[in-house]
Amino acid sequence: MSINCSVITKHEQPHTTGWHPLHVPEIVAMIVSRLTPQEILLCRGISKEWREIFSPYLQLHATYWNHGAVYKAKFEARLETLGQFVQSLKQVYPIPADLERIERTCPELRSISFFLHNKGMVKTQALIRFLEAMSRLERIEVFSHHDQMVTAFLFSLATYQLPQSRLPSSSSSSTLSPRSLALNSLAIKAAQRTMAFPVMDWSLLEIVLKKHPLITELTLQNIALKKGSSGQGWARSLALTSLFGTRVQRSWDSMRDKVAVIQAGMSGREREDDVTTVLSFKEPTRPVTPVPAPVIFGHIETLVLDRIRLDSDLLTSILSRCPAIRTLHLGLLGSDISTQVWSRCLSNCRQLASITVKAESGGLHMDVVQFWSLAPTTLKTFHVPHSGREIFFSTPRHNKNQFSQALQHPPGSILVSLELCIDILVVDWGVRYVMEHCRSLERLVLGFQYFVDWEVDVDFECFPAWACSKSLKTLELRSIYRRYDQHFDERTHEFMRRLEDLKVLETMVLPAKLISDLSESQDPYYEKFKDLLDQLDHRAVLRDQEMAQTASLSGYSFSIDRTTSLSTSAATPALTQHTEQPTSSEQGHVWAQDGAGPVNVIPPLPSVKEVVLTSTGSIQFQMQMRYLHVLMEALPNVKTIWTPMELYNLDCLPRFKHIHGRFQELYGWTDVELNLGVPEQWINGDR
Amino acid sequence: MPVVLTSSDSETFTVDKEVAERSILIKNMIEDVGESDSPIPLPNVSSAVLKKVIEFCDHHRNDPIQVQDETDDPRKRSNDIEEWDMKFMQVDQEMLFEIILAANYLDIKTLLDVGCTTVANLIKGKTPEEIRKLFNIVNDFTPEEEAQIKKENEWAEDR
Repeated sequence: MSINCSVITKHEQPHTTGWHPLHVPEIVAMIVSRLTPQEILLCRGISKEWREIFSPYLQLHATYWNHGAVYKAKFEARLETLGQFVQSLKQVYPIPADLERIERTCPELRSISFFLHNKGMVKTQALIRFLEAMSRLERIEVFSHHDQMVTAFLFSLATYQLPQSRLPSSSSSSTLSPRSLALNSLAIKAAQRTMAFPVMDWSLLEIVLKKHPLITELTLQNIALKKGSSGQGWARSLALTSLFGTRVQRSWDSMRDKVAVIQAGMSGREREDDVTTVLSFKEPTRPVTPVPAPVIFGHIETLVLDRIRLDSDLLTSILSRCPAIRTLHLGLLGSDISTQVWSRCLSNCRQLASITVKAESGGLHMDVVQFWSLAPTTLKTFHVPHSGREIFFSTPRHNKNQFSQALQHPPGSILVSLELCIDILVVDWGVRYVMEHCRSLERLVLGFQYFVDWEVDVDFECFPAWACSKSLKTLELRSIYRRYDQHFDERTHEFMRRLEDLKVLETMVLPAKLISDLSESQDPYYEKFKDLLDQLDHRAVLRDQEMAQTASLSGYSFSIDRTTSLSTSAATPALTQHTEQPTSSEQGHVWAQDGAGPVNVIPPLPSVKEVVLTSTGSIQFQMQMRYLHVLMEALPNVKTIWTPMELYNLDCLPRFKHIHGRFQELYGWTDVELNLGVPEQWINGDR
Repeated sequence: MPVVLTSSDSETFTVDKEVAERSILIKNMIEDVGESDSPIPLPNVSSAVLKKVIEFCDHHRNDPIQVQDETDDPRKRSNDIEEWDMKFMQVDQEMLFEIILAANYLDIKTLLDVGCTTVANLIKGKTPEEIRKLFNIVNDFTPEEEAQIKKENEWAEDR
């Protein structure tokens, strides 16, 4: 193939005959968007023309090979040849030699992830020089084993955009260099190696954020956040001086002074106690007046605080400084955040669109309805993936006034995606609140318990109709199971019946054990259905026995007829081709087509196309054919059923094969796919 | 209302307006010119290719029109092709490239998607030598360049 490599646009495209699609950049862009970087790399090696065509699209993402001199040398040799195509590098040790090599070989680097595992690793001058040279860096991630190293790193970040000579005396915030404007994402993650959390001073981070006004995404992980105390400051000063010398220490202190002055100005107007806290950190060397504007980080749109320990005052302070936050991830650990804090916090976040709250060890208190009533109207996503009883729905009698005022637009009514796994009972008012008022939901993950103790007393009347009946497309039900669960709450049946309201539901995720518990319950309304399932089970057992006998006899005759050795398997029906075909009356007629049969424990949901069954965690529980009978009867238009490996225990593949075979015999005519595993998007974490 | 299309080799095709309007180029032309009986000339598309394009558009006449989304994440693009489309694309390589060029010229996003995915799938999983053979390409690298490429390709092999 001979290709003239001059490129053309669509409007210039000549007569198609004799021309080639690889001459058209937009076509090449579409083709390479479907290829992996490795495949594009191979395409560059086809011919000189292909090398020219495909090279602009090659983007490599690599992990720095630090382990072992041989591997390191090999990787560095590759950087020499392909470094120009490297877009992101992970696990980089910020040692001067490596930084110099990356600077020289990877001019297009956009994202870098540093790994600080050694106390003496950060050489600030080399790091600052590197950061100044890498003008295209958009994302910096730091993973550290030592909080002192993080402090040193922050110093480099706060410094690198400014000429060294201006550092000590510069007080203007308008000295931003254009090269610094590329950085838009900063992530600082600490390794938690001891019981004591690595400590970080939020004030230091403020300096960095002030210097980089295009950082829109800030991630902090595994850190105890403090707002400088005098003792901590002294310790840090010592550490900085010993690590980097007095010159760096002076520069750093100078920058902190400036922030302290600004904070003092704001605190004077807002809160008297803040002034004390900030000034105690470091006595400002200049007069407090004239008071500059408060430090506001209007550029932060995404704030991720994952496994962070901080107090409510600091949380309020941080959120008040970041008024443009759209996405907030609050994973707090050992913090004490009361329900009252949210009114102060949320009043400052008027653009909040998505919030995820995780409280792994309690201490984060939230009345969900109150929170929704305080949240801005921009809030569409509210996720609590796991929590104890500290996140709750207070019943109407506790907030009658608020509730009666909000009837037109009840709190939560504009949420589009809701994940609520807060350890509540199925009959809890919270479940009914979601059903009745969250009318815009398209995706709902609802965790509840449906086993109750004797003493549970809940004010329950009945389940309301689903308000999101015409919008909910994905419903995931979760439940927590304990080894000694007491009594199945029969009202769970009523909850399940209400699912019938959901007219556009496409995907349903539910525990297989929920189907089991529903179908095993003693409710007389479902007695006939249970009998039918038992009959199907019984028929399957008889059939399996018959097949085993046939296989056994066949194996016996096989050994006689062929007089082969005794090692020939006598019980492998699949190999002896004696699988029994279903009778014509059985296949396709498991369920009456006119819907006149007994009432199923799951209501008819004709819109559902996909079902994902989930396992039960630590409780031993096995997949059975009867659960598929329940689904196939209730969901006439289902196309795919997923069953995770955990449902088949250790002998996963034979058990799945057995159930799959039976399913094909009975329901093969429906073309429903019965899969082992979970949907691909779950594996990618895009659940 | 039917629309008459004229190919580069002067063959005319009468198609339903909704089928013709799968092409954004033709849609815009009809909107600009207004209702007219006069044929729409397509000087960049031969009759053989236009016939295939019309077949595709007719099959997909009821599909929602795909809008170019600038924010579309290329990493989430699928290489799966529907069964009918896969059979439709089982043509010789020259015709495949002609269809892609025509789809690009006529601005038919779905057809362009299917065509480019087909080419990408042809490349996937093949060695450089197999790719050269498939696309009839001569290896014009010098031995020194070849050695350099071999070194570079090690990156792909190690991933």
